[in-house]
Amino acid sequence: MIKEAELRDRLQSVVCRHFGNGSRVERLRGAMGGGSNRTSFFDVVSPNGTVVPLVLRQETYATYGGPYNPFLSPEMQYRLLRIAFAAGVPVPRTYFLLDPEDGLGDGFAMERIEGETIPRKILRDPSYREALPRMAAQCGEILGRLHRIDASEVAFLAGFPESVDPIAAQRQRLDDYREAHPAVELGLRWLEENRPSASRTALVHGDFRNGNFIVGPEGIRSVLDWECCHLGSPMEDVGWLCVKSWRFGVNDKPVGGFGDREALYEAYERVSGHPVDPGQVHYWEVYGLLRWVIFNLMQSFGHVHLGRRSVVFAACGRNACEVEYDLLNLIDSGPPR
Amino acid sequence: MAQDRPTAEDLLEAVRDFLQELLPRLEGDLLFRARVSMHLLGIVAREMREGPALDAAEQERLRNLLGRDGDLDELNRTLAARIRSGALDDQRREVFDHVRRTVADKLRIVNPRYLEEGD
Repeated sequence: MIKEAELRDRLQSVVCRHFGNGSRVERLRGAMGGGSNRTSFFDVVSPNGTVVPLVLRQETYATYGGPYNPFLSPEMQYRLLRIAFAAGVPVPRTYFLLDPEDGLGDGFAMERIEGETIPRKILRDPSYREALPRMAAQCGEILGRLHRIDASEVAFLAGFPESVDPIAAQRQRLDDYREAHPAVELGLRWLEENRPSASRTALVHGDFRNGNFIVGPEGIRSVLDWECCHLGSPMEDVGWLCVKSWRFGVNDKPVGGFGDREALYEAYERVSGHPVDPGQVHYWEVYGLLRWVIFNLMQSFGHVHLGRRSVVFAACGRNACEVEYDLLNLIDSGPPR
Repeated sequence: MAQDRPTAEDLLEAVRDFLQELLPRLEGDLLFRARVSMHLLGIVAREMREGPALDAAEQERLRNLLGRDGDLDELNRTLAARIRSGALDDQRREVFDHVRRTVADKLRIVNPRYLEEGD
């Protein structure tokens, strides 16, 4: 990645191009995320003093959608953000896509929204205490709106492995990482044998969970990380949200450690117009645990084989057994009564 | 003994203590990664202490389950392949119990508290 001074200069050119020659980049900071992607914060100040707070996302993966980086390209994320925004899903407003000639790689700029994203803070900080009981219903409403988007608007997602067959996609990824995981094999068998009958196809966020929300005292302000979107059963998103790993130790609140299933399902049904089948949610929770094991194996593979060295990625490889344990227990115990 | 003191376990503990000392001076990403690093050192210490016995027990269970010998890696690849192909479908309970036991043993090394938490 280029140094900060160069980033500032090039960003200033880009901002002039999009906002007009008098616009200034100020308070450029952040640059979080090492390796191949980076998030920076900055303000665009216009000649009359108006300030627009923005986030710059940059990514430098060579390819997208493959085994070593299954995520969507910035351009697709940008499109999805705009589609979601138009449908009334709370997401940051998008401002511009980076052009190759900008010299900043792939990426885009979007509105910066204030709030908390770290799950343990959201669950423990008194500032959010009143927000927590509302959030399961808010999730239901947001997902309800998301899943009403016509799948034809996002047909460009149809070819991705998770859109074609999510179970096969996980099996293929497992094979790509070349480690034997009998627990995951048991999970794959269970998922194959219990496949739900064909359901409707919708735009699935793919990582809708505690950890990807910007939260304020009033509740969820924004949904982040539109890198895993695909087409599939809307219950995938509902199941993923309820996966045990996202309760961060608050195990009596199945929805993200903050809420109850009833509140989530009721709001979802009200907004989407479709009923929630708890048996299907159970299925996609099992699937979610298996998928989360595999994401951890992916990070570990990057550390071991791809030079993406990091104590965090190394820990992912070992922590996967926690998720395998939850996966086996959930298969064994069946849906909650 | 082949090496001088301190023992390898003691070395790990010394590094962990140092990281613990650093924590109050760190914030954000560095603080997070320091905590993860301490977690990894704990894993190594537990693996050194308990790993060999757990591996031996796993190997024995796999030999019985699969009716063949081999190192742990080979045996687990065989188990995974047989589960996938359906070859072990008439031993589901036995296979499931073995796999859960093995995963629980991995947890004893990685995060023993997770086993105590329950649901």
